[in-house]
Amino acid sequence: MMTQKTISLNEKSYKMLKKLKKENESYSDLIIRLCSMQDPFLKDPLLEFSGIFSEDNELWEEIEQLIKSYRASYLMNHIE
Amino acid sequence: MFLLDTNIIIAILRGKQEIVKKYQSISSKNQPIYLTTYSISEIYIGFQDQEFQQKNLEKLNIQKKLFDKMVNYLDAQKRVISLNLEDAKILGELLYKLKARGKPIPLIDAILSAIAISRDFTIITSDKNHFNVIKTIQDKLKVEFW
Repeated sequence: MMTQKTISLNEKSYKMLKKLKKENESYSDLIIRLCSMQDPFLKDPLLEFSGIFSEDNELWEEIEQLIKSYRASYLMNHIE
Repeated sequence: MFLLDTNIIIAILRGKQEIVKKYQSISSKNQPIYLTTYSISEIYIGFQDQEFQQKNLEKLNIQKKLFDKMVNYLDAQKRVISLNLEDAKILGELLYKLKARGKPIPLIDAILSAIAISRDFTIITSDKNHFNVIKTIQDKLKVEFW
């Protein structure tokens, strides 16, 4: 079970958080969402780096084929 | 919880819009999404290939640096996984059954399937053929085809 921590907020910050909280969202999830907007480490790196291979689509098409051929070369029926 | 196959990781990194949108929809729900060290190895095949290096050394080096950075972030988030003891036991069963039934599939597909079955993950892949074969052997396997 995840450990719970208690933090104290003043009235002003509590009201601000309450205003931002979505329906069915917990305060923990809200804080993660807000921090993620500021800290790239907390964002999803796959989305942050999405498109890094897009300039070379032709090359990556070829690389994907190469990977497929490597994968196929390790077919289980080759394991005796 | 989800486990990404290499073809989906590459599609996201290539910025394929249809895949990126689908990925965004699961990522935004804070669902845990993992990838394996085996997929990282497969992508490294591309970085190592001499023919590709001769054509695009500079660009590949930049992409490799960015990829390494991304993988380090994912690793720090504990989202890069490998076979553990329980997965290994299931892999053994799976390999035996596939071999006994004469259904050869790539070893990496069997490894990903064992991890997914053992940890109750859903594999996301574009490879219908091999994972459907594994499903005929082990119906606990959950797969989404994108």
